[in-house]
Amino acid sequence: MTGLALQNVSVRFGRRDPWVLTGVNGVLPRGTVTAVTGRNGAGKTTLLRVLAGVLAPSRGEVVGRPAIVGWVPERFPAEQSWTTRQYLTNVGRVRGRTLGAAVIDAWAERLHLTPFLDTRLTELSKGTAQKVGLVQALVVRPDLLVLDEPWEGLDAATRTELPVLVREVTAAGGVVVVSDHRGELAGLRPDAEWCLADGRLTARATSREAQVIEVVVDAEEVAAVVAWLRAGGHVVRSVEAAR
Amino acid sequence: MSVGTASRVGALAGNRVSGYARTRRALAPLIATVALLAILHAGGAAPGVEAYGTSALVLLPVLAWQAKLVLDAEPDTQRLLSSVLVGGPAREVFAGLLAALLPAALTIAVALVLPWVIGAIQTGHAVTGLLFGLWIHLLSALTGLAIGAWASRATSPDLGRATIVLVAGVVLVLGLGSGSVDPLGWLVPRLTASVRAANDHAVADVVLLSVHALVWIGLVLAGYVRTRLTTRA
Repeated sequence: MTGLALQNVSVRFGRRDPWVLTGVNGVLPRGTVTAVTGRNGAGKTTLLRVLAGVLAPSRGEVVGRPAIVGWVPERFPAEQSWTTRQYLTNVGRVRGRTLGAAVIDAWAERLHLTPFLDTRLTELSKGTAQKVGLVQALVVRPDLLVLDEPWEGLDAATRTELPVLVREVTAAGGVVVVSDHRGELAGLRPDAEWCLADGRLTARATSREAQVIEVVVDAEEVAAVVAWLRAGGHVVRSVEAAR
Repeated sequence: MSVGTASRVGALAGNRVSGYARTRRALAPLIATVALLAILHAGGAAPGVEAYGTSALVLLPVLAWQAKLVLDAEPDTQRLLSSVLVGGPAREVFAGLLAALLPAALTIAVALVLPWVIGAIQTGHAVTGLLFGLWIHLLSALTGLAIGAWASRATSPDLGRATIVLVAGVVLVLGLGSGSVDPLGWLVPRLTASVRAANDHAVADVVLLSVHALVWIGLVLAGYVRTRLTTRA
């Protein structure tokens, strides 16, 4: 199998409800990143849930979904009494793996979660909880990684790390699908973009054409702005005094 | 189901029971169980078949409520996430039902042991009474599971609807199943009629009513599973 395919997928939530997705066809080749864009309510989350296998399509089917799927929902369900470490250990058991302390510690360090390993999920900030959501999806090296608006609440360091994590999945032949409605995809450099509007899909290859802009900022804010731009996947060539 | 799959389903069920036990919600059905049994058995010693039969009927609402609480302990998004983690929605649904049965087993154990501790069981025909007690509580727990599953958030997301399903389910089973309104009584597990037949030593009737109850439970749970697997999340 060369990847994942959607075949004439349509979704509605009740027999009298309007269609959320209509006749969606598309192929997600192995080793690629596909971005799903569109305004709020366009059906991005629904499409991603169908891809992850969380939602069965009303019509059509998804072919070639791999066995190991990582799904990062838009909002991590933090209303649970586990600590971060307990939660990730449980995730390992349900995945059929034993996640030793070393594995969990390594992922925690990578996503700056170490101080929160023994904190209850209910006490985590939104961004920190979202990091737990990322780890639960990535810790078993998924063959399909589905990220629903993964930037929500993440700090700059993790935003910078996200494209690296995604590329590790695609480098191993995995398929990555990521949704976005705020134009934060640049850092991921998607191989294709699927634009959703009124439940219908328009696929297009992404343009890699670049342009250069000059930005003038206060000297005190240079470091923060550079970090912000790099987190967004932009290349900062140089910093110099304003003429 | 392979050993690996069974292990993963078992791990998810274990997580759910553990998560449920960590919430204060788990205490309420346990307290209700002990309180109801204490009131029920306060009248003195009775034959095992009679005492256990009545306790299985009295505990049906608690068992149904407890099943709903266990199935609702996990947040909705985590339930969806669990289906991805465990490898498919069918496994997730099965793990939920398995998880809901485990606290029911504790309730049954309490219901069987407590009357002995407080001297509410007459010593004659003790083994027969205990075996019937185990069986009728098992039927009550499975009936409660079927009602509680349909009342859980996954199939009854609206609290009002969930309450109606829970209350109507229990009332219909205890009301119609008493055996006095045939043939409508055959629409539900006839637990009350089973207890009456056991008190009358009508073994053949108990077997027939038990088979009927198991078929009803199987059909209702199959409908729940089918609905869970086809309902849009």
